[in-house]
Order: sequence, then structure tokens, then C-alpha cells
Amino acid sequence: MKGLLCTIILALLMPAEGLLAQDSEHSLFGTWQFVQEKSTDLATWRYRIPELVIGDSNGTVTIDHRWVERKQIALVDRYEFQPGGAPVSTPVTTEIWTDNWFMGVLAKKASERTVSGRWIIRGEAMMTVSEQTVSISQGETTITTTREYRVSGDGKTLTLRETRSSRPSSVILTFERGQPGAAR
Amino acid sequence: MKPLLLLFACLLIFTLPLQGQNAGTMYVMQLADNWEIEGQLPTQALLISLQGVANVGAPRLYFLYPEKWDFTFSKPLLEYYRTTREMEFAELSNADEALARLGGHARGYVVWDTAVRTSLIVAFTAAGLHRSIVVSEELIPLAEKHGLKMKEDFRGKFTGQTDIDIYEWAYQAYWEQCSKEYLVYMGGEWGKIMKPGIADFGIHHKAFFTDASTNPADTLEYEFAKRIFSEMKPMTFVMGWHSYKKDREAQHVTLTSNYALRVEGLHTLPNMSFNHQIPLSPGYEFKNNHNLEPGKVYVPEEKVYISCIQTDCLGLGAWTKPGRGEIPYAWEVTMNWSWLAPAMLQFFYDMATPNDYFIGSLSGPGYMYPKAIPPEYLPGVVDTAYALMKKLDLNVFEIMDHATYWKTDGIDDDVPKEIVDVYFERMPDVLGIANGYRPGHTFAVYDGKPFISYDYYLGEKRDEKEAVADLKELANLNAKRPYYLLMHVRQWSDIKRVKRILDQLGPEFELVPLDIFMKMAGHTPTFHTRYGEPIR
Repeated sequence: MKGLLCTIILALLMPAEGLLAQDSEHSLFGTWQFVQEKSTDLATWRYRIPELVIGDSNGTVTIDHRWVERKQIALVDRYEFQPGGAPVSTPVTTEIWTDNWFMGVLAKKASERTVSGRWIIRGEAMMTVSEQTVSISQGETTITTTREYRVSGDGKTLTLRETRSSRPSSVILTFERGQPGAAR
Repeated sequence: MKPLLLLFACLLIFTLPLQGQNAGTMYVMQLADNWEIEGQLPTQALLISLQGVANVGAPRLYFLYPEKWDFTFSKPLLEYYRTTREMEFAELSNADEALARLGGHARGYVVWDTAVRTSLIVAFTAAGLHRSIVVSEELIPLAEKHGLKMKEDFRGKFTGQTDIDIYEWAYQAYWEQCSKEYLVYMGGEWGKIMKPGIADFGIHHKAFFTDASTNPADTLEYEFAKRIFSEMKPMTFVMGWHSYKKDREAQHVTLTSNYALRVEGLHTLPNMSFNHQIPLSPGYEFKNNHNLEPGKVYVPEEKVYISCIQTDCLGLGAWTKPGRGEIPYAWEVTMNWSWLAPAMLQFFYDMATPNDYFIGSLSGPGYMYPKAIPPEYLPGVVDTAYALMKKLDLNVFEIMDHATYWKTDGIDDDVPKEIVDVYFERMPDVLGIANGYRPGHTFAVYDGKPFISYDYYLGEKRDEKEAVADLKELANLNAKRPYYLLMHVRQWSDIKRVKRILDQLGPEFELVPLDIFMKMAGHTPTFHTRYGEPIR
């Protein structure tokens, strides 16, 4: 009886925690608009503008990297995982390698990308690690990408530090809280 | 009676040069840097149309284009003509003076309607057929002051009509009389601006002018474009450029290639009615700056070999900018200039430093997409391109194919094996073939000759530190050595900037001339063989 009660209480608390986090002014959750002038110069696929939408549902975090072209969402690259949980594999459905359009790199279609993540500060800072197979001129290779999402003290700015195993320097992107599709 | 005759003779002597009948006199004039309909465009259009008719039979009028013009060589080319051809030019300062000197070559004027931009495009067609200049209403008195009579009047004629209505009218009125060897796309900028640099050439050759959309979604204009393309002779020319408003370059070149037509850009290509008539120096032969030593075997070391190609046509951007000659650099040659503007191409060859290496382009004898060319025309296309390469002493060719690129969200610029086979079969002496614009993904080796795609696109705005990181990242991803990193440099990047980036790459990287790069890549390939999907 006691165990059942605990389960019910936990079940009630878990979404509540998620909701609380989403409602907080300092929360990572929400929609984030790219601020180009405070970010590393990007070579985005067809010059699209990134937008982030971070949410959770029953303890599963979803991070949508959206790519906006003329105020329309052209592509959504979704990372979905349970913080602290085992890596999740998702099939790669497009050859578009969103990270850089100027380099001869394509995502390997029909391969699997694994993603895991954990909270650094619950609700405010998170780290994800993804592994992906890419096609290059010499065949195929794997890129491991670590992403750290962190909200500023005033809750208005999100900084994304992206570190690829292959790249000598990190890419730092700055976002401000905003509405979906409001990318400039 | 005698004094009367004397007076008449004097009048004749003074009048003849003013009527431009002195074929030996050449004129030069600086054009203003304003191309707005409400600004200087009417005067610029008048002048460029005058150039088209005045240069019939002999080169008489040359323009200096503004510094910000797409093609940056009008001034140095003039100096080249002065020094190497001993040409002398009298300077003209305004349209009135230009008409006084050269108006006699025009048979009349065509009035366009400044309220209907497309009327100017049609007016260029009419001007070619009537050997006339184009004028806006405000410039009619000027034309008449110089004795010209109205040939056509488009004021109010097209009011409220769509472009397709206007072009259908123009087709009915003019198409039959127009050249079937040159068609001019008067595209590029749109709205209040037009930059009709190529109009003189079109008028000179009685070309039909249009900017009809080649976007299949614009069904009426698309069908119109298909109709006029289908009525051109195959392997002839679509000069100018597509409209930046109506369609995409990839759509335009796909459709022209469907009819085996050769695109020769841009709409801003200047002075072609003049340059077309200046021959090569007597006995001149085009000589490239080859780097390969006969008989030497080029065995690569365990390095990252990088080679740079500037595409997008000679004379756009970097050629006249600082740094040329400081590092090995390959330049796309606009091969048709060898006969469209021979001395102009000689000017580039003569200016070239030992580090400037020329390559043939682009997919054919002109800008074409091989995947879109009807298969029965492809061998002829390749043969014609190869003949031009031989004439121009070129032994590396370049392909770009965006026939499906724009339909695949920027992924597919690859070339299927059956097409690569045709190029290598019919270009037996090439050292190799480069492919792509942004990075491509087709790689192969044919009998020691590589087909190698760009692995990097250096955009003109790319932050230099990030470009360095991009190149280092590519070298990390492609871990085998040697790694062949072919880089496309967008034409607006000057070579000093490219050098700054390359200087930061470290000792593992080595910049090599393209011919040596091709030799090594063919000798010890490390890329993975990959082709585009076969054409169904």
C-alpha cells in the first residue's frame, strides 16, 4: 500500500516538476531566438537562422533545433532523451548536416544518431552528448558533439556552447527568449 | 555659286565628325553609378543602346563602368587597349555629346515607359531591330535634337499588363525577326533598378530580350521561356542573367540546359559590342601557366594538400584586387570569350602571373548543367568545350550541376557515372576534373585522373578564424594522408584574405597549384569513389 502511494505521489510530482521548470523565469525551457551579433559566425545550411525550443514531458527533455528560412521553419532537428538516462538512438532521415554548409560533410542517411543528456543545474543548465556518422570525401566517420545549454542569471539569455570532437574550437551561440518563428 | 559650294564643303567637313561618320574615331565615356528608373537609368539605357548601334561595323564606343560594377575590368582593359593596340579614344562627357558624335549610327528611337519597367526590356529588342536608341519620354527632345525620329512608342502601351502579356506581345511583334543564336535575359536586379550592361551586345545582334521566369511554379512565364528556348538553335547562347526576383539561377540554367543552350553571364557584362570586335594580337596564342615538369612523377607526402579555385567567371571580384600572384590560384576561364571578346581574354592571359593558373569551365562551352542536357547533345557539348580548352591551353576542367540541387534542399550537386564517363572519354588529355560550387560529393579516378569535388566553399563573409577552424576540422574528419582539400573561393574574397586564412593552417597543410594537386590526387587517391544517382 505504501509503495503504491509513493508511486502515485511520484507520478503526480514528476510532471509538476516539469511544469514548474517551464514556468520559471530562469528556466531553460521555452523558445529561444538566435542573436547573431553575440554568436560565433555560422555557416548554416542555406543561410537559415537557428531557433531553439526546449521542453519536457514526463521527464523526457526535447530540444528542437529549428532552422528558419523567411520566417518559415525549414527543418527541425530533434534531440530527445531522459536526463541522466541511457543514450537514445534515433534514425537519421536527411543528409543535411546542419552544423556547417560550407564543409564537405553530409549526415549519413539511414544511420542512427545517439543522444544522451544530463542536468548541470536542474532546469537551468544542461549538457548533451550526441554521436553521429557522417559522409566525407574519404568515406565515413563519427563525430561526437557535446552541447552545453545554460541560461543567464536574469533568465533572458541562453548560451549554447557546441564542441565537436573534430573541431579545434567551440561554437558559441547566443539566444534570447522569444516566440516561435520570430527569428530575424 | 563657288562661295556657296565652299560653304557647303565647309559645313560637310564640320558636320561629318559630329554625325559620327568617322569610323576611325573611338570614344570613351564614364557611366554614372546610378541605375534607378527615377534616377540615371533612362540616360544609361540611352547610352548603352547607342553603344549597341554605334558599334555596328566597327568598335566606336566604350564605357568605363563604375567601381562597384560586377565586372571590375573596364578601366584596366581600356588601358590595355591603349597600350597594346595603340587605340586612341576621345572622351565624351554626356549623352548630348555622345549623340552628337555617334547619333548618326542610329536610325531612330524607341520610347519606353518609365511606369512599366518591362517596357524597357522590350524596347531593347525593338531598338536592335530598328537600329535605334531607347529613350524615356524626358529624353525624346534630346533624341530629336540630334535628328532622330520615333520608331516605336511604348508609353501607356503596356499599362496594367503583366509581364507575360507584354512578352507575348513582344513575341508576336518581334520574335520572327530576332536572332536565334543570341537571346538576352535582362534579369539581375529588379524593381526600381536595372543594370543592362549586356544590352549593347543584344541590340548589336538583334537579340530578343526578356526576363521570363524559369520557375515552374510561374506557369505562364515558364511555358513562355520554354517556347522561346525551344525555338533557339541548340548550342546557341542565352546571354545575360535570370531575374533575382522571379527565379533561381539553378532553375534558369536547368531549363536552358534542357534545350542545350549555353548561358553566358551576366546581365552586367560590359562593352561586349565593342570587345567583340577587337582581335587577338597577330600570331598570338593563349598560353597557360603550367606547373608540371615533363616526365616528373608527383608522389604526395603524408600531408593535407589544398588547392584554390576562384569560380564565377574571370573579371568578377578578385582578379583586379590585391594579392593576385602571391599564392598559387586557379581561375575559371569564361572560354567563349576567346571568340566573343578575344582581346579581352588575351588581356587576362597577358596580366596573369606565374601563380595564376587557368581552367576550363563551366560544365560545357558556357554555363550548363550536364544532368539537364539532353543525352544526345552531351557528347557535342563536351567536344565543343574540349576544343575551346585546347585553344586556350587548358588541361583542367570544371563541372557544376545544380539541376537537382535546388530540389534537394542543397544536397545533390553530384554527377552520375554515365556523365562522368562521357567527360573523361571525350577529354582525353585533361589532368582532372573539378566539381561543385558548394561542396560536392562525387569522387572518382579515371586512368590516373581524378574527378574531385570541392570539399570547402569559402564564402566572402566567412569569419577568417572560423574558416581556419573549418579547414582544420575537415582535415581531422578526413584522417588519411594525403588528404586532398579542394577549395572553392567565392569571387568576392580577395587573395590577401585567402592567404591570411591559409597561413594559419600549420605545417601539415600545403597549398599547391591545381595541376600538381590533380596529378597527386590521381596518383595516390584517398577519397572514396562516389557518384550521383543515375538519371532515370
